[in-house]
Amino acid sequence: MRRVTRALVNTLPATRAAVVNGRVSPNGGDGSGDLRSLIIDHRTYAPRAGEIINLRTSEIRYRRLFEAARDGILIVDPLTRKITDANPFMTELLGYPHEELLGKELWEIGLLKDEAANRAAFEELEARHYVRYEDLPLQSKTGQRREVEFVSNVYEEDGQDVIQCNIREITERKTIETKFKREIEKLNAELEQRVVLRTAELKAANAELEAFSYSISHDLRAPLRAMDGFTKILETEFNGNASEVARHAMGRIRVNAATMGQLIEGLLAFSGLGRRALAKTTVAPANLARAVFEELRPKSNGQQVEVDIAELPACEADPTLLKQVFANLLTNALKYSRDRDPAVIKVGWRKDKDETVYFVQDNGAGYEAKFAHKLFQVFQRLHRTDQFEGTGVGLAIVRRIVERHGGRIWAESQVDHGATFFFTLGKHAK
Amino acid sequence: MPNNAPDILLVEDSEDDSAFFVIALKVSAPLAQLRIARDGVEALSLIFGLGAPATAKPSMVPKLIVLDLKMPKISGLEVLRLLKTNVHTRAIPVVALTSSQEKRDLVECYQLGVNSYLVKPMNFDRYGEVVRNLSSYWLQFNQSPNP
Repeated sequence: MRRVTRALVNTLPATRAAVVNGRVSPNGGDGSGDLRSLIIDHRTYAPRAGEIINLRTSEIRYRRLFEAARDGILIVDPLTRKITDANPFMTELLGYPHEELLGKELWEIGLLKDEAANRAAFEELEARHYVRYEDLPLQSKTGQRREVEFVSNVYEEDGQDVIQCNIREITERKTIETKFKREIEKLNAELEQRVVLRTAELKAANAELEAFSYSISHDLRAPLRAMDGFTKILETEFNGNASEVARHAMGRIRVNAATMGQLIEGLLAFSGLGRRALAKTTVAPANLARAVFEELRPKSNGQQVEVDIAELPACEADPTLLKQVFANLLTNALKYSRDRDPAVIKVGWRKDKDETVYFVQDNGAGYEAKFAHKLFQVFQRLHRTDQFEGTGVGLAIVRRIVERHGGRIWAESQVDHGATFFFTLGKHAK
Repeated sequence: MPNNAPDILLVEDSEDDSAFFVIALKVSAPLAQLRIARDGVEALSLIFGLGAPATAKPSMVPKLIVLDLKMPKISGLEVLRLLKTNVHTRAIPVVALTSSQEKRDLVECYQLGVNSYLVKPMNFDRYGEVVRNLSSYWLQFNQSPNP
């Protein structure tokens, strides 16, 4: 800044004449008067007296800015690459007295780490007239570490290139950034630890549940076997001599023990589903449905059954579990239509927005719509056991499988007009 | 070889299940000699006496061991592991007869070298059928290296 104004002041005597002749002349002085080509050349520019005062005021103003700036400012000679001026903040920042800074190269005061870096910076500066380092670690003369942002650009002054470097201290900003970074890292670590803890808790809960099922599987069955076994022994001991009432009672004990056994089986199957991992693959559902039906057919003794299994779109599913869905739905369809002749069972699908909806339909007994909400709950039944046997687990299992695939299940029915069970397997189904 | 060896050593902690086994065996193999151990500890001391189960020579070699899995103190799986680790008892046929339908029990038993795995049926008639089949198969039809 000082150099700029000094240059102007130095030219004053030589250009004073121009003041008389007029301070502005058209380019080349050909008098064409074309104002678009008017150039003001500061070397021929002759300020008036008032303007000189303004320049001095300006010099003072910018000098004060230079002196008081809380950024370091260096002026460097591009030819010698030596510092020709430095503001007081540079001294404050690096601890070198003003005189020590003058005549030094940038790398000597640690601004660039070595001569090679110095050379590279100057080459870049020459090519682009601009260099910026976002985050430059410096060491002050007394060995203190300073983080700075370094901007350097070249401008022309009095026909010569001058390099100005602005150095902003960002130590505090960096410290805050580092502090935040550490804080975030700490929070992340805490979060991770919490996840580990919750996972462990979940695993423990699962293990407990597994132990519970194991216990049910083993311990609840033993007394049932004893009930059944000893009743059988009684039957044998009486050897047909028991009264009608006693025979009936013994029969009921055995039937109930068997029912309880089935309930335990159902409960185990249902609880086992939660623990089993899904093994998804691309499945052709119609093949599963047909295979299931072939397995079930021998049980429909002599009754005429019309079955229509449509070509169903492929889907991503666990084949074993999806087969279980069809097994339970088709078993129900056969069971509740066994007094129809013929029983008509249809397996089909439809596109519903972006979902594939599969359905299994029968023309059987149906159910009362007002109880529909109970249909898929475990151990809930909508028919008496003497009408249709069952444990109330089948549809609960179907619902759990469907939901584990990310799908939904619902049903529509009218008493005596059959039932239709719809299900989806999530939006990813092809 | 000790001569007090029974045809079948039943290792079973449930008195009821033992009683059913006895009844069913009487019908299907009335001459078979049966010895009952009430848990894993009793089974090991019957077979090995005071010797260390992993290495000792057995003091009793039954033709067949029928083993319940879930028992107090030493479980059936542990008894099975010791029997199949010990070179002197490895060849004794062991049949697991258990309430457990858990797949992990089934898999572990076979990994330990069980010779057969049967689930106790809930229904007594079916239970009798299982005992009849296992006694006729292992005592009459099957050839085993033990005397």
